[in-house]
Amino acid sequence: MTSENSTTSGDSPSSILPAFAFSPSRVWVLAQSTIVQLVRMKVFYFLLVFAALILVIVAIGLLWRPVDHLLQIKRWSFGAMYVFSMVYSISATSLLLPRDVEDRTLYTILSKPVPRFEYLAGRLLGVISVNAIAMFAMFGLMCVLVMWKIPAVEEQMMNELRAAANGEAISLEDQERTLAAARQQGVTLSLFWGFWALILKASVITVVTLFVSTFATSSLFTIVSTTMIVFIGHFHQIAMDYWFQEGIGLGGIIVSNLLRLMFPNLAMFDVVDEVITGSTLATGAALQMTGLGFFYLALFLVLSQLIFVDKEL
Amino acid sequence: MQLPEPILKIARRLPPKFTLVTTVIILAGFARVPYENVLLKNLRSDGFLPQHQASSATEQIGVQGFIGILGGLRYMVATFFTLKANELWETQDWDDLEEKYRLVTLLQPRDAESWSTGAWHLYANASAWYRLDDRTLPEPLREPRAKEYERRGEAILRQGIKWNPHDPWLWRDLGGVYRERFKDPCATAQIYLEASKIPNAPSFFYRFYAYQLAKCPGEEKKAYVELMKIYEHGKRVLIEQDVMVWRPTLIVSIRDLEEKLGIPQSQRIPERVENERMRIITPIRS
Repeated sequence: MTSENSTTSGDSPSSILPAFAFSPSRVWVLAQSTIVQLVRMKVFYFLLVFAALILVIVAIGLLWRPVDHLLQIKRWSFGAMYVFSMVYSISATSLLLPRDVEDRTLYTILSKPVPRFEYLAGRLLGVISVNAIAMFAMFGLMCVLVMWKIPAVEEQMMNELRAAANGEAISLEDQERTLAAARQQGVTLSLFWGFWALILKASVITVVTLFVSTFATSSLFTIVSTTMIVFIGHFHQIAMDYWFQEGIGLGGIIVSNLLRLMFPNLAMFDVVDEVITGSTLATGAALQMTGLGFFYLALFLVLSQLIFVDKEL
Repeated sequence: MQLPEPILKIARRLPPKFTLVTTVIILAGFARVPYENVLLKNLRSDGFLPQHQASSATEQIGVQGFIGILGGLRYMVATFFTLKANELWETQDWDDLEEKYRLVTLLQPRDAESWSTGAWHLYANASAWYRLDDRTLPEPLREPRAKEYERRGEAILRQGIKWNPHDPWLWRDLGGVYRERFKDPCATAQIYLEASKIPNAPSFFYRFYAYQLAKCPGEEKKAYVELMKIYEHGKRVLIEQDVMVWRPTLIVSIRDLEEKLGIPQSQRIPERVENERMRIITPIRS
C-alpha cells in the first residue's frame, strides 16, 4: 500500500529508483543508440577526408628524403586526428542534449526506469566510442603507411652513416644501432601511446562538453565555452612555465594556481610532438596519464550528474 | 575564522548548486595537482613537454600560431614555419630564415633535426651566399658577413646541444663547423671527444678525435698514443676477423707523428700507404 501511495503521489519513475542504481547493460543500450544516432549524422565521412589528405601527403612527399616524408606522414595524420577528435568531441556532445529535448527522446528515456546518471554515462560512452572507432581507423591507415616507409628510412639512415663515417670502418654494432634507430621511427609502443593520449584528451574534452551542456542555454554557448576551456586547458601549463622563469607577484601566483585548480590540464596529454620524432614514452608515464584521463572522466561525469539530477527539463 | 561579510553576502546569493560544483572542482583540483606534478616530472625527465623558454620569440609566433599552440597543435605550427623557412631559403632572406628556425626550435626543441637544419642553412648556405654569390655587398664586407653567419650557425648548434645533449649527430655537426669553417683542429678534437662519449655514438667519432688531435700543435704525444690504440685495435680485428678496419688517414697520421716525435725505427709501424691507389700495404712478418 505504501509503495502504491508513493507512485500515485506524482513521483517520476526515475526518482523512485534508488540513487545508487546502476546498470551497465542499460548504459550500453544508451551508448548503442548514441552510436547509431551519430553514425546517421555521417560522422565517418571525415575518414574519406582523412584518406584524401594522406594520399596528398604520400604523393607530395615521394621526392623528399624518406625520413622527412615519414615525419610529415605522422605529423599530418596526427594533426588530422587531433582536429577531427576535438571538433567532433565538442560539436557532437554539445548537440546531444538539446537534440534529445527537441525530438522528445529525452522524455521517452527518462520516463522509463533509467536514472539520469545512466543517461549521461550512456551518451558519453556513445560519443567516445564513435570517436575511438574513427580514430582507430585513421591510426590504422597511418600505421600501414609508416610500415611501408620504414625500409626506405633504414636505407637512408645507413647511407647517412656511411657518409658520416667518411671512409672509416663502421662496426657491426654501429650498423645495428642505426637500424634500431630507424625502426624506432616506425610503429612502436610509444606511437600507440601517443595515439592513446589523443583519445584520452578527446574523451576529457567530451566529458567537459557534456558537463557544460547540462547547464548551457544553447548549443552555441556550449561550443564557445568548451572551446575556451580547451584553450585555457592548454594555456595554463605554458603560463606556469613562463611565469616561473620570469618571476611573478602574489597576484600572479593566485591567478595561476586558481587556473590550475579549476581547469583541466590538457597539456598533460601533449606527448604526440615528441613521439612523432621517435622519442620513447615510458609505459609507467603512459599509465599515469591514463589514470589522469580517467580521473577527469569520473570527475566531470559526477559534476554533470550534480547539475542534471534535478534539472527542470 | 569568519569570512568577511561582503564575501558571505555574495555566497548567500549564489545558487547552492553553483557553490557545490565549484567546491567539488576546487577540492578535486587539490587532489589532482600533486599527481599532475609527478606526471609532469616523469614526462619531462623522458624529454616530453619541454619547458618553454621565456623569450621574445614567444611573442613573434603570432596570433594564429599561438592559437594553434593553445589548441595543442604545436607540431603543425612548427611544420608551417619550416615550410616558410624553405621559401625564404629560395629567396636568400637569411635573417628571416633564422627567425623562422628560432620559432621552429622554440616549438619543438627536442627535435634535433630542426636545430641541425637551421644551423646548416646559416653556416653553410648563408655564408657561401655572402662569400660567393652576393654581388650587392662590397668585397671587403663579404668575408666578415660570411664569418658572422658561420658563428650564428654555431650558436644554433650549441643551443640545440643544450636541449639534446645525448644526440651525437648535433656534436658531429658542431665538429664539422670547427673543422671546415673555423679550421681549428684542437677545438674540433675536443668536440669529437665529447661526441664519442655519448652512449650510442658511432665508434668512428673517437677516430675522428684522434685524427684532429694529431693536427693540433702541442698535442702530438697524446695524439700518437691515441692513434696507436686505434692501430692496435685494428690489428687485432685484422688478425682475428680478417677484416681491414684502417683507412689511409690513420697510417698517414701515425707515420707523420713518428717523424715529428722521432720514434725509433724499430718501434715504427710497418704499414705504408700506396698513394696511387690509396691502398694500405701491410708487410707480413714471420
